[in-house]
Amino acid sequence: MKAHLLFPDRDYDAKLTAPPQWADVAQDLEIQTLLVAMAQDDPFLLDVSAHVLMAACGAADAEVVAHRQGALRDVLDHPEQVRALYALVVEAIDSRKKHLFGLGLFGRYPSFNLRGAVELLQTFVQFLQRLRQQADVLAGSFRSAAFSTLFSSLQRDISDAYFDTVQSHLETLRFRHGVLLSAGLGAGNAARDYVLHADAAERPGWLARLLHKAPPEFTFRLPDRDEAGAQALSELVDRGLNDVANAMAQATDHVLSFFELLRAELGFYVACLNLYQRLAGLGVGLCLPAFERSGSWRLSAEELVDPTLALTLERAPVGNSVRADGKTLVAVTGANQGGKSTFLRSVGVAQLMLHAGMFVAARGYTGELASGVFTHYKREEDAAMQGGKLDEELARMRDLAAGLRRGALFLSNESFASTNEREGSELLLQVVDALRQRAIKVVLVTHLFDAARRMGAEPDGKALMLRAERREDGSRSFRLVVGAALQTSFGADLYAQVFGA
Amino acid sequence: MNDPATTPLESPRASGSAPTAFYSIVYPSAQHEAAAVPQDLAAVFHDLFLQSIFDTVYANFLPREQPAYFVASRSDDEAPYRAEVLQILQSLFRTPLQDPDVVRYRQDALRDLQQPALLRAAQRFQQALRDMREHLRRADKAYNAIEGQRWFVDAVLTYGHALQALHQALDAAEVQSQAWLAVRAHLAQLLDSDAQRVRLQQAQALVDDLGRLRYAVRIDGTAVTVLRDPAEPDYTAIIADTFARFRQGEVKDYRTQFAAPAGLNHVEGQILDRVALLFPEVFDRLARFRREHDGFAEDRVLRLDRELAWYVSWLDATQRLSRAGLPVCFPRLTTQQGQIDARDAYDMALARQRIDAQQPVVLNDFALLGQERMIVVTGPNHGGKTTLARTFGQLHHLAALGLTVAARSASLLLFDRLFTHFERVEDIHNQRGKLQDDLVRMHHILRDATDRSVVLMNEIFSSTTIDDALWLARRIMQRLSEIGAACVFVTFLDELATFDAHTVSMVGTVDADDPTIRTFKVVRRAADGKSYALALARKFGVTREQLLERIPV
Repeated sequence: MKAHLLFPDRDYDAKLTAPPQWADVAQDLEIQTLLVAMAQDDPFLLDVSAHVLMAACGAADAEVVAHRQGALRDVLDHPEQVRALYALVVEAIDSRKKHLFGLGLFGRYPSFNLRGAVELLQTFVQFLQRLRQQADVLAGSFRSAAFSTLFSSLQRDISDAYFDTVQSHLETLRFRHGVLLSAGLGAGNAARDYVLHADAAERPGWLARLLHKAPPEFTFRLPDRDEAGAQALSELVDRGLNDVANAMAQATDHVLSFFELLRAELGFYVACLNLYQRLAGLGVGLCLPAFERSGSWRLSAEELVDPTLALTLERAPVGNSVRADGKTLVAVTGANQGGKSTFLRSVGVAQLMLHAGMFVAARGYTGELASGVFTHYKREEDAAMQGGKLDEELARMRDLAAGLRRGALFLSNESFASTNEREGSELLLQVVDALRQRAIKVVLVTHLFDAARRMGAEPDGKALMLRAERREDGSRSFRLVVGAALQTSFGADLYAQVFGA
Repeated sequence: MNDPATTPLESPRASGSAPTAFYSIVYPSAQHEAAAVPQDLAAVFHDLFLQSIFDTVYANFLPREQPAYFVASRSDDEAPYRAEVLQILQSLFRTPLQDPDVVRYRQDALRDLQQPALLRAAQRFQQALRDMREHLRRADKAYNAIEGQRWFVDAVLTYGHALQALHQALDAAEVQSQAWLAVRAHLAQLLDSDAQRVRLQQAQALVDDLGRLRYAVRIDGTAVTVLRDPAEPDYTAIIADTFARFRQGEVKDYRTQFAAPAGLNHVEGQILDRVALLFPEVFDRLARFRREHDGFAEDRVLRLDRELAWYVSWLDATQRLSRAGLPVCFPRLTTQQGQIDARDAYDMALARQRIDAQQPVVLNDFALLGQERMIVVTGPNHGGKTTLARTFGQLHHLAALGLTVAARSASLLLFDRLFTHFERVEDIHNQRGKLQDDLVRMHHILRDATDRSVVLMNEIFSSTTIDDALWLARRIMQRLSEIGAACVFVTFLDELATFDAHTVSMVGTVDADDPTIRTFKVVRRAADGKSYALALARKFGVTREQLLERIPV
């Protein structure tokens, strides 16, 4: 009984460790904002979403992305039904709180454990039936491989016949007519190897026994006041029920773990739905991205937007159209606060969401899968910093280098700005050069004019130079235009703005 | 010319000699046992630390402390057995052998048992008999007759298998001692006997048949019904199967652990009684077996089990010494004086303490060869003199028990009696009484000692003046010289070291650089006449000159 909504061939694994660069990536791309919108106050959804995006900053798998996009299409087509299904699973999981057994309060007595497990499973089985009924209703209209597999699996494994079998077992397990155990003789002729039986055979009546037409049996009764005897008897029953009580307790664990897995896998899509509805409500253009394999150097988008900015501003921000097919480097220079960092972030977040199998915040998007997403951003001055800021930047770069591979996406925001322009330029060029030679795509924002000039001067045409626009009156359009770097960055404009003309 | 009195006792190669009937593993025959008379050696054991050695080696058989009242009381059912064995061991330990044949008998048995495979087999044999005793106890204590009968059968089986296993091990090992060869023959005889064969067969058949039985019990409220196995499938498996489809991974084990019960309670007993009604044939056989085979364990086998401890515990203790790098050997024994020669010997009790404290053990030689009869040991206090005397005594006594001794090699006297006269701590006001006691004890020794005796004296006559002590000591030494016993005399009276032609002088040595440091090496050398006390005083700055300098006029 598998869910397989997130992966075509395996379960969601909550215990996967984060890729080493994740902490920086999450901070630099402001993923927290995204997660909060996905979770909508459900800490479980926050957890699942964080997990999936964390995995997304590693290498992407085309089959997984396609699988999820298919599922997402179904989800976006049937949002209310998916939310209802998710709510049903949550209700199933919460139902165990009504049972002592469900809260983990089992004890040393198998007969008590068995009773508790039977009751809990009775409740669970009813939820399984309701799930199956939902599958019946939805199976026809969901087209993705993911959901089709889920529904057909539910229909096959929780058929009416199965439900009847389970009910019959749950009834037998109440042992209303006594417990039947078989045993052998061990050391000192003590009983050993107890085996429980369902006692299904017809019991011969007293007449048959009288006429010796039935196999021999001998009965005795404990006297009413025999407490020691009653205790001995109940311990005997406990020994006999030990294994089946264990099996039933484990069965409740199995079913519960199935519900929890289903919750995680459905939960991710509910979180995507939350985000989609939020962003769409703000007027942000969204689409399911097309993608090619790593190394195709594809990157082309219409109205690409930074979704975290949208969530913060609570309106659709200015988007950018990018034509970077065949480019191994995209370099952005230009006016302060002109939208450069925002652009960088929109590229990074889109790549993450693509890897995660989600939609992206653009009206159209065709990209490529990467072997990992890496960020190297300028950090704030830290009074407690040991060594210089440059030391810290170089150390971070060294750590990143350990994980960089061909096909990675490297995002740099004002790297090496902590030293003078000449040195900084040299450092930056060396890094960028090396990465590009190793077939790593670089997208960067910089004020280092020297570096920018040399990047733009390359004859092979593999670099795209973009500039943050500054209008005549000094205001920003927040759009990037194609163009070489300009010498100054118009700090004068800002100064005037802040200090008054 | 073969003089049996001077020929050292070697162990003969046993091949070719017909094994004699097995009697015991510590005595070749009943007559040999009757001839060995235990002695009252409490004082000797105290002086030579032999009691401490016994208590350490045979610690397992000493009575256990009662647990504190707050510890759940557990009945110690093996206690009577251990007490029996302790008695046997104590008796053996205080019976130094006079007959070289018995010494050889035991040494050979011990030598064989040093083979690891045979030692393991002996230990397993002991464990098996312990199990048998446990089964017999449960057979006795059982409230339900059928339960008791079953334990009895298990006891018979355990016993039979123990005999087989030990016999097999003896066959496989290369045993050469008269003792073990006799055991092997005895076991073969037992195992071959009709009685044992039939009994074992019946027991095995019973256990097999009972093991194959299956019955069923239905419990409905207070009604318990015993019936034949319904041959229905295992319902637990069906349940597990039904829910297997939801399994995602490993889950907890919720099974309850049940404590092993001490016996059947009365409900189980009633069920068992009815199971017997379902299968009357087997259970009748069981009851009959119990009636017919009481007293199945053979006396000599039971005795072997008890006496094995004598060797096994000794081996264990001496192997610990070997592992610490100390030598252990089989001594050669003679009944003639003038052949005592031990190399790298040490005090076993002291060695155990030093090993525990991870300190080194000093090894010493001693000898009384040819005409030599008395070693006079002098030297600094606490320099190892008394230890040497103890070592001499320990080696001799343990050799006379047929055991290995704490030395690299040893040729020793098989004495008729061993006397010790060690200083007793006395009341300081009773000076005259102490001297009198010393003399009375000495008088008894001189009366009973022969030219085959060993006499050990430690710091006697220390409660009187030096002149008196010298005078008395010389008289005593004269008497001992006439008797011809082997003696060790530890004393501070250096003058005695050159008493007569039979006297050997040994001296405790000190460190060459710092005379206040003892080496614990005692060597053959003329007495020093040095006063070590002065060197010590100098070290602490309290010689006369030093004091005169320190104290102002």
